[in-house]
Amino acid sequence: MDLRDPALYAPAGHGDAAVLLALRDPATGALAFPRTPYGIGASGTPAEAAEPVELSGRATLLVCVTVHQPLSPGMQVPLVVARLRLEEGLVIDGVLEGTEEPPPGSAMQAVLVMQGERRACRFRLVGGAA
Amino acid sequence: MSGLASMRPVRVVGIGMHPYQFPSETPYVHLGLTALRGALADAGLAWPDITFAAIGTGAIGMAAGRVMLRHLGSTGLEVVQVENASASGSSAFRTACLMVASGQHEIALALGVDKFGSAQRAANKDGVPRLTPEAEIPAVKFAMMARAWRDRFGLTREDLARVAVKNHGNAARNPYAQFRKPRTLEQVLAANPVAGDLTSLQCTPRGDGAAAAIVASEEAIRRHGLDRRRAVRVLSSVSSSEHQVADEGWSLVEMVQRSGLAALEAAGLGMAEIDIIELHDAFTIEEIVYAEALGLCPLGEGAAQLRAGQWDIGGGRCAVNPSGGLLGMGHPIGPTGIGQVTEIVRQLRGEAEGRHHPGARTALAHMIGLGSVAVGHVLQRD
Repeated sequence: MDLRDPALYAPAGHGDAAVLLALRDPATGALAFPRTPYGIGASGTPAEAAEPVELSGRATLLVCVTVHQPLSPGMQVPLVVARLRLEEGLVIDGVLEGTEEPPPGSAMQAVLVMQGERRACRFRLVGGAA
Repeated sequence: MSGLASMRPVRVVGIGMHPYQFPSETPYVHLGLTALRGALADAGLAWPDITFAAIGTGAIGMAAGRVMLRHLGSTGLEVVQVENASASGSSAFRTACLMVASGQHEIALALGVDKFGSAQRAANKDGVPRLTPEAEIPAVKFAMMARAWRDRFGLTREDLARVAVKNHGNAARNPYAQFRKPRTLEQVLAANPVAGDLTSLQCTPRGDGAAAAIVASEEAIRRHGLDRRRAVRVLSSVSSSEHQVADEGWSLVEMVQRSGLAALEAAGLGMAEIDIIELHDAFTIEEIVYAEALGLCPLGEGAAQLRAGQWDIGGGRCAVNPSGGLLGMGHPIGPTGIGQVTEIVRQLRGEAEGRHHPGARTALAHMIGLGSVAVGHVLQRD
């Protein structure tokens, strides 16, 4: 089954978990997600000097909200959008699976779920709410 | 960042507006020339007296200034176009101030004009894939900020809605505002839900409009015999963009705090001396968070200040968004930052009929723009 954004994530190899595709600066350890041809903004390192790495997809939920109106073409609502801190330290935004709003501090995992004909990345609550 | 302190004094000598309005068929030239003619009449200047024009616009397109200004006569003036997202007008005003302060010109125009509908975002062309484009929609981004403030400081839905009640109330008294209806707390809370705790009346409307400000040197004020009592001094002008912040910090808030402090320091003033703040309240949460970041009150106490009426016109020491802000007055992008300046000039002159903040002498105009950028100006009457 195709991925909707294969440049951003890949199957983790167990269940429907996903890894996120990032760049790492070997000198400083600085990370960039997503991978870009422009390098790592946190350290100014060009992409050629960075190494591709996979992030675990494990995250802690910082905050989330439900979007009630379709604010862009094709947006299906309700939709829960979250800010998450990845296990590796980066803070990113993601869409949650389902329509529940877990509390801050909840453990989340990136997973691949069917969206139309393709699999997209969503974040799923793991082990119950915080 | 020295602001204007080390340069020639600059004063706003003329202001003009075309009222902000819902998207319309009115050509932008009509909007812009209405504001410009108003500013010329307010200053008592003629068009050929202006030798520099900075045109702030986000959506009109290339050469908006020349296409518009030629209808007043082609005088050979220097014209530049300034696009800095929501801060386009603020940056145009800063450019005009710097042109006079540096001695390049004696009288300069900052004119913001925009039409809704055709702006393009560079972020959509950067070739970078996005995991969650939904989170970059401003209403979603600021709904998350509101939720984070709720989780951290106990901010309630009513606290957020009170910003809209205040600013729609101020706008109802502002003849240049897009929204002219006062709203109750119940109406704001019952409006269509958009994202998180934000309802439609807590989100800035889309619209058209124009605002103009003419700035001049002391020498020009003398030479043209302008009314110095109505000329409002621009004490400082600063501009910056986001820094990287650690962990889950809100870099936007850090930028507002840093740039606001820089504007005050460059003016040689503290927040205790500011009587009016016009700031970027495209969403209700922004007014609370930015007022705290700018130092109007301690972090987490903005909602209590608002509840106590401290930010109302005549309600406390410092009125916040007496124009109605972006929520009530409107946010047509190009004009917005200059519209803040026109409101402040009216307030400081004592000409804001029906909404005058008593005793106002010093004000801060603070604007942010997508990207993110921040622009701040401190103005003061003698």
